Amino acid sequence: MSFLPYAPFAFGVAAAVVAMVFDAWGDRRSAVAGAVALLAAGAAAAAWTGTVSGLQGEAVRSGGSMSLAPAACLALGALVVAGCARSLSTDRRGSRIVALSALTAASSALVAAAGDVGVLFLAVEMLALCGYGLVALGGTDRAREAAMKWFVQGSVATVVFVIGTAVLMGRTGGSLRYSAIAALAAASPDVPVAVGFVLLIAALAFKLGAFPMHSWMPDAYETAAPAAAAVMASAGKVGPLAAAVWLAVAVTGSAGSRVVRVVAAIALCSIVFGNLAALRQRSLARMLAYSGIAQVGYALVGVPLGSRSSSVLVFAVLYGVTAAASFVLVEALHRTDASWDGTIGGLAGLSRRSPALAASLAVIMLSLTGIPLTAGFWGKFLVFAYASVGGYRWLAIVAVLGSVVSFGYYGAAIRAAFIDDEATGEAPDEPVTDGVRLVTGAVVTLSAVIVLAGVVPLATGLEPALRMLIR
Amino acid sequence: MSILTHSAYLAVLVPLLLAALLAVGVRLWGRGAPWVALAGPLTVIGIGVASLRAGGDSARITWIRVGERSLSLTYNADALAAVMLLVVGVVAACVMVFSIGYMHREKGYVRYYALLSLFTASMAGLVIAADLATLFICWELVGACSFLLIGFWYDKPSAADAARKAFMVTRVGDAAMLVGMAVLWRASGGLEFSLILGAAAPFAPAVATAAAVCILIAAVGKSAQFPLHIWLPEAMEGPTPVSALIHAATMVAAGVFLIARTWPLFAAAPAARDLALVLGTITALGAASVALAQRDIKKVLAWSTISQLGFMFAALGVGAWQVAIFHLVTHAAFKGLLFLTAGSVIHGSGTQDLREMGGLAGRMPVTAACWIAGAVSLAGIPPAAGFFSKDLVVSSVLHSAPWAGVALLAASALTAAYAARATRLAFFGASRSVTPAHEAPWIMLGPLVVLAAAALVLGVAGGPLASALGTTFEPLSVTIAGTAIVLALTGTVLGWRSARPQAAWTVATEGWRTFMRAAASGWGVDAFVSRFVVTPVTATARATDAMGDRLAIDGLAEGVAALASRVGALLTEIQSGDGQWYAGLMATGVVLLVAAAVWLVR
Repeated sequence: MSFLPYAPFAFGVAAAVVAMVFDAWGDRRSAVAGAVALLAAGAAAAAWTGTVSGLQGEAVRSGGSMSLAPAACLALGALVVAGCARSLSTDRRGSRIVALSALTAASSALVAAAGDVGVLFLAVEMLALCGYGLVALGGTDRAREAAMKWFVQGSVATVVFVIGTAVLMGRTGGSLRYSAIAALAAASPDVPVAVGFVLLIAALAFKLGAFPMHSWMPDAYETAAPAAAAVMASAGKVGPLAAAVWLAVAVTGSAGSRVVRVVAAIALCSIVFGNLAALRQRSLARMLAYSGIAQVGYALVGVPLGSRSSSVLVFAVLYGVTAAASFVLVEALHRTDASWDGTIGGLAGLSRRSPALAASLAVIMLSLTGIPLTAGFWGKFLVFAYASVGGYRWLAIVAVLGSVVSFGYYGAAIRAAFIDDEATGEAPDEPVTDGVRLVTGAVVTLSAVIVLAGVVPLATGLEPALRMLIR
Repeated sequence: MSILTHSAYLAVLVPLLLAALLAVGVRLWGRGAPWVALAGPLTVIGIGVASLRAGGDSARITWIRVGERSLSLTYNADALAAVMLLVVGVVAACVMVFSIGYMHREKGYVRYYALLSLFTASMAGLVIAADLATLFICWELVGACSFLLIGFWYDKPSAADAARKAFMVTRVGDAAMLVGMAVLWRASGGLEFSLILGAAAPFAPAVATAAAVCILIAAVGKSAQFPLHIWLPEAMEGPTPVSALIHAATMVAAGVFLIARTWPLFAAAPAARDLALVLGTITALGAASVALAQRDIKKVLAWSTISQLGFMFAALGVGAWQVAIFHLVTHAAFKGLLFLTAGSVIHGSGTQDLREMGGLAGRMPVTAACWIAGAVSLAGIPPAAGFFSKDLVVSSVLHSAPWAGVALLAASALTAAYAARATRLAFFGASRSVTPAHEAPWIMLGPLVVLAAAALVLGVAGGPLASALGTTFEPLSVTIAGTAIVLALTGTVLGWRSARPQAAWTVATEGWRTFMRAAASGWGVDAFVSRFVVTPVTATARATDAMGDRLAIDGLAEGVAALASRVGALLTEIQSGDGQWYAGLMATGVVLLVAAAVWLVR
């Protein structure tokens, strides 16, 4: 048995260990640097497995399109930790956030790569535990309360997952491999498989924060450190989305496929709820959390599409980059202006104070809306286009309408940054420190990547880009 | 000469590059701008001469391909184009030199020359274009330059308004031209002149008439013919040399050129020809009468231009397009001259109101002499150039449509009258000016002398021009020429007498005063248009804005937004902050999902 398929996860766990060891020595800078290097190595290893043929394992799968999501999870983890390096290496809790972020990325990658419900269960639980820890590291009472509430709900989700696993195991006679479930679903459409599938999807939906399992998201994202929220919102989402796709692929292709309509219902509710609730938010992080519910909804639109559901992977990766950029932006905003209260209204005058951050904010918000020339456009375009040819035109229409509504709050942030005047006079001119420059640079780089990913397919056409992503 | 013979596109490219150079280095060029810009018109003249002698250079580039059809950018420097290039180049060169003195105090000196260069390029492109698409692009470009130059003093509200009005009114014609192009494209599959004007003439009469009328409307707009003439008098808000170049010699004549260029189409469309004749005659006579009542020296010349273009349209209407081009050439010389002289007068006396001039001949002898040369040519008194071309126009119209010929004879009498009146008011009698006038510097007088010479002797160019355009002009008929001379002299005497000091402004009877007021206001066409076109259109636009946009669209959009926000407020209630409630919500959700799955698979 080759070790290669497990190398990416090993690198991810090693990153966490290295961070903790350096932290014990009191060298937080090395903790960050080591973690970034190992996570990047893990991403590279995952990307490499994508090019090696003959690796298709059973419990942990890799190769081809299987490797896209794991590579993206680890790369996003590395990006976020590198972008927030300054605050992570100065803060007392920084190294623990780094370690948990690395574990989040690694377990999310494993969630995506799992080919066995047992492995999936372990990975999802690991991911959840890291999440509770990341929120609790926010340090405030509110953060600890949010983590506690999330943990309580999480135990419900765990129970749901266990029941689902039990139902499936009873039906297959012991095996929990996806291939066994697929064989079962193909043989005869029956209630136990459908119930088992729905219970697993519900547990994943909890991790994703889809309606009605979303309640933990706003508090968690708002109270966690921005770096932690960035990891949860990007790397933490890509894995479960990929797992949902693989599960749906396993049970479709037979009469049992009718059950995937449940996913369409979750998508619909998430889009409607997320968008409408986000309209009312004043806090930028909270708005991003609610809009994240809607974004997960858009992604789930593509899950019931069978062979076309790989569009979800593209959406997830592009959304992951944008979401990571958005929370690193929050971090940058906190660092440039210590007096910022975290509200959207407080962004007024940003275009004058920091043109680079304001421009990046505009790019990120436009990408989240799905405006052409940004990465977000291609993700939505693919998912919605496939949905409308794959029998879910009504859902695609709802999703597009939701995107239109979403500009109501994404655009509000752009308006605040560029048009609104500052309520109170001049902000004191503070000297720009190294840390600000680093995090601003990270945001600008991510925005440039977003624009580049939005523009390049115009020149090359969509085909080569897709072939590169999904082999 | 060979580079000039084989590279006619340089007539467009050189001034275009110069315009770009000037525009890029606005701060760099300073006083040197005119000498840089002057290379443009000189190239145009060179290409014109070379093309006239060696015959046309032509080329085509495929621009847009649509299925089997394609749109090309083409040019062909044939004889007609060469003649027009010479007109454009000479007048543009004179105007650029003249402006060195006239505009030397202006802020936007370099911008002015950049725009003049751009105009020269566009106009050259317009005349060498060998298809309607290329021609239309240049047609729009000269319109844009006209807009920018009328509004040169853009901080002056009246200039900005005049620029907008000129642009809007000519748009009417441009829209018609687009329709005409669509008709031709549909009927023949292309816009190249070789295709749409070829010997095959593949059009049904209805198609030819529709296309010709559309092109005629475009020409009417550009050449300020009734009823789209209302923009030209106001265009006088621009600098006077600009009026000489764009609004007398070249751009306004583009309409005449366009019809001459697409003549085979008009040959197949008698209705369009008749329309051109009627509109031209009305314009020639009406505008001449209005010119008689003007008090502003530039307004006199503006109405005179409209009237003279009417003569050309009448000639086009009876099929004598070569005659129209001949009159276009002489008119470019004498009207360009008159405008530049008017510029010199305004420069020297500080006013453009005829009532504040008088006796300028003594103080500005060269200017006065040049003006008189131009006025004699305009009035059609031999041996000046205007006499020969106008006589040809009148006689060719008389042959085909006697009523129109008679009207044109009356119009030429009026022409002589307003020319004489303006001459006496400005240059003779006692001085009425507040400040003593002074003669212009030689840099301004030089171009005047060149153009004055042209205005006097261009009459001999008729024969060569006719042969270049592939025809011969009929010899002078003693009867018609005699009548025209007598009428011109009568008009001159009457005009001269009407311009006695005091006479013009304190005429006795109430009726005469009302008549003069009506004439001065352009016979109310402008008021009519603003009352029955502009007002209803703006009212409709306002109503649409109020009803459609604000009530329906905005109301709908804002209503939806308000609704979404209201629902959002309700939904955030779900976020109570109570952990047990969250867990319960989740459990309910899971139960519902499982129920749905069971129902789906059952």
